[in-house]
Amino acid sequence: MGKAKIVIEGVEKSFQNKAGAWQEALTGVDLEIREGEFVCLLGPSGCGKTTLLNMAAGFDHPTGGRILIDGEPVSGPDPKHVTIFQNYGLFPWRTVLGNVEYGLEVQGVPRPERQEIAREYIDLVGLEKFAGHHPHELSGGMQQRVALARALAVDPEIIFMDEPFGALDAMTRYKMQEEISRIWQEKHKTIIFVTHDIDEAVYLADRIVLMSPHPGRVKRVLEVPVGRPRERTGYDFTTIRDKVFREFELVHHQDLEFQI
Amino acid sequence: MRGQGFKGEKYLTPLLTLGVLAGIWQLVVSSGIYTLEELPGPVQVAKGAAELWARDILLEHIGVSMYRFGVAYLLAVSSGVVLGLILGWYNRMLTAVDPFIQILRPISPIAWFPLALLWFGIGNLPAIFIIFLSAFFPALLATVNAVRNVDPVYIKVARNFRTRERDILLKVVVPAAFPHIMVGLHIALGTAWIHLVAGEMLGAQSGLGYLIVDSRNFLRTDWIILGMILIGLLGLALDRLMRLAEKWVNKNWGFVPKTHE
Repeated sequence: MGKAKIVIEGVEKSFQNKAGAWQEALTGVDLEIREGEFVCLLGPSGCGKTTLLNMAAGFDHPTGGRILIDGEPVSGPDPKHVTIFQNYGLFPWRTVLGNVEYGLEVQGVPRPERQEIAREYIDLVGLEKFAGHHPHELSGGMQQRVALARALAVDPEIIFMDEPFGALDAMTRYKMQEEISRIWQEKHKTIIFVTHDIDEAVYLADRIVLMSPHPGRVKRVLEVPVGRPRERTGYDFTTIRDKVFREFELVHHQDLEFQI
Repeated sequence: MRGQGFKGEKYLTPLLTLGVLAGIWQLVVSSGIYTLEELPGPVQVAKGAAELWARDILLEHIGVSMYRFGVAYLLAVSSGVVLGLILGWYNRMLTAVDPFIQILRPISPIAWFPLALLWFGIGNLPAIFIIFLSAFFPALLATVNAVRNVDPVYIKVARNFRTRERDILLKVVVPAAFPHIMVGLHIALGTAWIHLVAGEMLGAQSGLGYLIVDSRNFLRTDWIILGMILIGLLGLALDRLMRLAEKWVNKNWGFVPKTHE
């Protein structure tokens, strides 16, 4: 595998709640993500997985430790590291084409050129017939494809995905997982993918970062040594799935004890 | 839905209501409770309208009123929206001027009458000033709120692609807020139109508001009622135009489903 792309060292994050008391959302996170790797952050709600993603993406800052990308501390959002949000964040007043070309537009790429690139990525996600449509005319799965095309159009090195398929129905979800897996293999991006769905993590990830809450921390990092395309019913797949499931249950169990 | 009938009923039913109201009006007039000077009937008002029309005065009044209204409204809306964008975007500025706005806003534009007369004298300006004031605050406040309520995810996306501050405002905040700004402009249109009469009651020598005040001096109640009816009808027309504009914006902004063949 490639060299270290993202290095997370002793990262902590605390928030001040309404009463003014400090609450730990994340504590002592150490993680190294290699170039071209597909990593899933998996855990129940409250485990700080989205917080960690937000900090790596530059939208938020750690209260302790540091996050390096390519050896440089993360100082803010960067077009080389694009985030795809759960609610898509598409601009409703722009068409599909207008949304996908946005990133190139603000970089000052001339219109004919950026539209050509945008169309290429619209084709890649299979929406060529919908380039002139507005987001609200598309289904949730199609909207998420637009968000994906918009992210890819600026040719980023890293894509951060925050439960991107959370709002989709099961069938669309499977389809999108296959799609993102195919595109990842084709485009060789580093992908950090937040999810609370075990199957999703096992289907997509090279490595699963299992997190647990109160306070949020990394519980275990699991390799998924299964070839692609993955068979959801294959022996390797179900074995790993069971393993992750047991670990996940353990996390929940401990969480329960913690609360009692 | 209950009570759906033949095509065109949507337009016929209100016309029927209008006929009934005119009938009641005529009945009250015919009952003789009031003299014709105190309460002229529909026929007298129509005759009065014809008289003014023949003297070429009616269109002039309407034209002058529309001119003042147009100038004042456009000034109010453009300055209100621009200032609203700035105040909505830069929190510090809003903190600085918000108390001031909140103190000025509840003062009725009519309270500005004496000062408006002193400052602007006789003519178009006092009326324009009063109408401006009545449209400015709704436009300003609606824009401030619209900007502050823009979904933060849009801003995050813009920052992710390293959009310059100016472009975030122009390419993201303005279009995201625009449908809500339009609602404010619609409200501003209504309040501004209501204050047209008030504005023209002072200092002006023409316009629909002036027609009403002037007719009071001559006890031409038929012209007073005519002026009131015209203001109502023109207000309705403006409101419909604004609704069309709103619909167009919503459609082109992708907020309302378009029908596709």
